[in-house]
Amino acid sequence: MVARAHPDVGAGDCADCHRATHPPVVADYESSKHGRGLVGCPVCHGSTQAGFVAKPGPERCQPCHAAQVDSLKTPVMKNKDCWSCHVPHRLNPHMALHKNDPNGGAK
Amino acid sequence: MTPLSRRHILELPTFALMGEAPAPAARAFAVAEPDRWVKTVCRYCGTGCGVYVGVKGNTVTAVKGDERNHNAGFVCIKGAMLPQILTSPSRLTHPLIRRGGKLVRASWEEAMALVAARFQETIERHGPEAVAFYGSGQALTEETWVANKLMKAGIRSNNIDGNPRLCMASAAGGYISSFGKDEPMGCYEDIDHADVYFLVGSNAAEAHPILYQRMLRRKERAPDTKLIVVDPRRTRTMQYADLTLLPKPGMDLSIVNAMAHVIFKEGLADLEFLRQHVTYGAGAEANKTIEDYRTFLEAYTPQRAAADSGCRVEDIVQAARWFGERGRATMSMWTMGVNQRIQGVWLNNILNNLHLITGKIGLPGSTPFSLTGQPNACGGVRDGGALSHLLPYGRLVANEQHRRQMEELWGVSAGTINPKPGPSAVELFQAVESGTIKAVYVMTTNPGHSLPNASRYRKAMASEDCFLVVAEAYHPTRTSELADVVLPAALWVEKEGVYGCTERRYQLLEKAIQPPGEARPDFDILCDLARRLGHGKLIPYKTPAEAWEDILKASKGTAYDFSGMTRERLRAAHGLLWPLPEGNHPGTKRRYVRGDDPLVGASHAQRVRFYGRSDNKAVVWLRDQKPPAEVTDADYPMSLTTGRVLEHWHTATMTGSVPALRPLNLEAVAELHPADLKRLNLKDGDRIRLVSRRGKLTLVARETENAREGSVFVHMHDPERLVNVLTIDALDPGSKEPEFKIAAVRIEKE
Ligand code: SF4
Repeated sequence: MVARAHPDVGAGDCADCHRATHPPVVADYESSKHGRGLVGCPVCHGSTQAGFVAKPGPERCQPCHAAQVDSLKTPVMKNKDCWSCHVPHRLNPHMALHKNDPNGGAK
Repeated sequence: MTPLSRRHILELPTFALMGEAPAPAARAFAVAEPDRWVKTVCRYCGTGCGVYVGVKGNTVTAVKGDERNHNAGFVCIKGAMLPQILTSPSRLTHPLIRRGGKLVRASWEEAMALVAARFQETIERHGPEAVAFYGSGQALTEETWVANKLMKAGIRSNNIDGNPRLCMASAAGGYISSFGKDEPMGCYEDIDHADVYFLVGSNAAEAHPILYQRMLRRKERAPDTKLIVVDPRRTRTMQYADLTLLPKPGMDLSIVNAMAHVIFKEGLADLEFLRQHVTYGAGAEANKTIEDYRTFLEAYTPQRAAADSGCRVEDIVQAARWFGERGRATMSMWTMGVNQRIQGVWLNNILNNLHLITGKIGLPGSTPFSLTGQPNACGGVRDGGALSHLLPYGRLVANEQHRRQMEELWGVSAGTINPKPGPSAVELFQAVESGTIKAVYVMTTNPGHSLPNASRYRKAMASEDCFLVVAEAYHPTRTSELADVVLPAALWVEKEGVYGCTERRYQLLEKAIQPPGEARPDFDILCDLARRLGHGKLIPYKTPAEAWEDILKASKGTAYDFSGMTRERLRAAHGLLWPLPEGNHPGTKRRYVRGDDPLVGASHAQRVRFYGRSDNKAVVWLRDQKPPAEVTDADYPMSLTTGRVLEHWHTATMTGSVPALRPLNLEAVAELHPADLKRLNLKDGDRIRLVSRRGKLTLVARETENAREGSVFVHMHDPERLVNVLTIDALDPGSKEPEFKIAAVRIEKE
């Protein structure tokens, strides 16, 4: 994880700046279920300060997806984490896993 | 679309933008398993999501949504970060007493002896009406029960009110006048069956996120589901709306009446339902007829409503047609935009009207459903009768029979309870200002931040003539800073008790960890105080479970009957909905409905029985549009409205202490329409002063198309920039709820 000083967001939210600096990330997020349900950036990435996590681990998914996180403990999921199947920010499963699905696994 | 390989996916910019290349091999599952998971309920909003907390030693390390509860395992941004509220550096861990103007550390014995002595002395010298209790929709039901019993049956003072008066009193007043009893008849499951959502004065996307997500899931499954949103400000809730109406602040009664006008005109009214189940009223009396109502509605043409509200005629007509379309289920939801108004009860009444005239009530997906702000406003304060005019479970202070029942249940002699209702929240602090109330105990709430016209009441609370006790988990808050004694309270999973949320759902919060330092559960503090005031026999409880036994008895035989909801059942269940009059009853999804509500009677001839009133009818009220308490004028030309943001909750004592939320959106800014900024020769980022007749507040101006022209929006969470110094303390005459949502201001450049 890279340590970097980040100003407080103040009034507004992360996307106010990151829409310009990271347009595909914000676009992917906003079109995802998380974007639609306002599951904001800090839920996965934590604080802008010391608690910032660039690549969230399963513990960040657990509050809403506990059963799926639990399933990582099964043998078939050995050495896998959530990102083995889900595209960050878009969150639908990787299209490669759904070759025959014209929507690429998106619901 | 060409299927992409995993390799290709990894090359997409999405991943590259994470800052570093993705790890080639996925990391192993690394969530530290807690020692145990304890079932509880989210501490924040009135949605009342079920959660489990993961506990390691005496620390809550994780939270997860309860899949078997109504929230289906989901939590919102606030809920996902719940563990952090417990460990904040702003937790108070020992009592404080004001000495020489400063709050200094004291022992529990010193603090409690002082509180008891000052209360005792005040009662002896000035009578029981010189002391008061100000409670909260966040306190546990058992805590509120003890406070209510101590005040009304022990001290014999009805000076007990609470923050639900600032929040839900108009919804309660609306249900009581329309149906005879408080609390909605519908449930969250109705969201899954509705074909139309009619949201008025609710920014559910931010204020009730899990319920809003449930609406979006329904819309995804059934794309023909319509979402209508009525709000003076463009909110995030409108993002997925099919129809939005942005009325002038305070002018939405005309719209709702005009919808009723269209519903009758276009033959969408259910005349048979009206004949069987409805009576009509104006003022306080149910003495009108359907003809009177139809004559009343004549004046509320869509054209008139459009002129009143600034909305378009065709949008009002469209809303009415979607609402009334036969064979489709309609669910209305509303919250503070409706309640925090001097016409709050009336607007609640006419929202209920729309469901009564269409018969869209008591059917899956059809219900008038008030969304509650706090996690236990319904269960603890409204149902528990801990407002100054109420007694537990639908009983009234002013009703002799009700007083006798409670005196018997509380084991005190007949005539103990004062027959005169006490003051409502704002009136209570006005009595502090005038000096008639000399000692106030504030529990789990922050009136120094949340009262309207806040400077006025902050001054009263800070006065030497007022002995202010604040029992609170955090310090300093904008109230504890004014206190004479601050008592450190245990928070959330550091104690046990019952919460009752929006849909009549009661749930047990189990104790998971010990409180920090010397903090104690409010239940213990109140029982201790009762003993010190000589009411140990009245309040003999050792545990909240003992109080619950008495609470069950008090609900028995009332329209709230949940006497089958034993501690054991609550412990095993994932939320139970009342009425639930026997131990084996599954609970009631839809109240007043035959076959569902046990109080209706299985053999009742019609599908519903509105048993809240003795005539078994609901009331359609004739309620006119009136102007807000403070209209804009040449000196104060802009309309101020207040509200919430997703990341924070109430006065931000909790969310402001969560590291990941604190930097986000806590600063209150003045949201203004570009046209207003231009007219005022201002730009985004300028420092401006908002001035109302009651106060001034310096804020940064924020340009947004979401603002309504002529209006300014400021959120209510920021403890450093109290928007409530500007808001007005005008009250709804029925509910005594203040008009937080509308005030007149002018803008000055700093
Ligand atoms: S919606 Fe309300 S109750 Fe549910 S997790 Fe969020 S704040 Fe908590």
